Amino acid sequence: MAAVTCSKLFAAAKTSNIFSQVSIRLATAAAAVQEKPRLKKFSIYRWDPESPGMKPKMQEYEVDLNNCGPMLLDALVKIKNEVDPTLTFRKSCREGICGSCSMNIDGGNTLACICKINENVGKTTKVYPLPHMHVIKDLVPDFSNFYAQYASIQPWLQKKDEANIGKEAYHQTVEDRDKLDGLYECILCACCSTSCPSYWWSADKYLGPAVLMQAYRWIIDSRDEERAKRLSQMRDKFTVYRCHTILNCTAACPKGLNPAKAIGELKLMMNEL
Amino acid sequence: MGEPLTVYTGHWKAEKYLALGLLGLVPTALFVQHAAIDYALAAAMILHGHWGMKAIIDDYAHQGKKGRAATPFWTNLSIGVSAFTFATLCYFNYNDVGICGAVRLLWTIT
Repeated sequence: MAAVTCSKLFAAAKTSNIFSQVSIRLATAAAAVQEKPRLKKFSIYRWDPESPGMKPKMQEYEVDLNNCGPMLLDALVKIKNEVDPTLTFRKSCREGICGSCSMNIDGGNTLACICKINENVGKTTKVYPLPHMHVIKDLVPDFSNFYAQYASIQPWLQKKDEANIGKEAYHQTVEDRDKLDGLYECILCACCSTSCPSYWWSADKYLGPAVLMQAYRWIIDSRDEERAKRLSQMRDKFTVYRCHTILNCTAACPKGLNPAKAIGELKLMMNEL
Repeated sequence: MGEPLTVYTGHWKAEKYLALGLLGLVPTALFVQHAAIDYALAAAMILHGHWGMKAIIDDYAHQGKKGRAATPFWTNLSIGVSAFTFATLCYFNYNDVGICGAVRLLWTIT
């Protein structure tokens, strides 16, 4: 009897000991979190067209990385929610699918939502809008020209005989479908085009890598019948040939696509025309 | 896209063929000494450089708001410089040891 009670007591003592140890550990962990905030500085481009006479400036914000998601978009959202509601940027899907949050982060064009924050708190992260685009406000660039150029390549399936459109499905072999992989995934975020020096200087006449890759996507589509027309519209000095194979486009693409290769193929196809 | 379309494809092709040609011509010049190679080298090198310069002028020295054509001053200057250099090289080929000979002399210590 005595032995049983003793062992029960012993067991109780043991468990309470474990509990206290666990709670002490939790407490120290919490204390450590509270004691060491990882304050990271973000220097962000600000410009507001509604304040007359205002010149663009860089504004610094501090974010504790312990209370922030891992991606740069998380930091921007946190700043907008908790520090400065006037900070303006585009966002939507927050997972690299919509292409809204393209911006220049620490010198490279990418999507803020899939760009991990550099956790070196000693280094300020600089955020600018996409380079060489007109700025509407803060990190929001004007895409009008980019979209107009995209429309100019007529990005839809075209048939010589329009009367039969919609009557039956246009079939494609598996091989022909495979050719579109690596092209159709483009989300038109313009990271590539705005990283291209040729596009910076000649955005009025040079289509830029994003739009050219989509032009190529329709040109090599086995179902499209206006291939020759599409190609012959691009044979002037500017539309394609301002590409000097700099390859910034391929380096910048947040989706891992290769616009430079598509432009190279376009140049080869135009030789055969 | 209403403007008349001047086809540039031929020029692009010519640029690539010339670059390929130079790739063969330069090593040949090291082994074969002939006046024809001297002149071919002078022409090909100058044209290659001139087209490269032309691309830079088209990109950076256009008239901006007045039109996309390159600024006449820079276009003319580059034509002048290329023509002068070509003439000088021809003169050198005709009256002296020639391009290949000059490069050979650079490597002769004695």
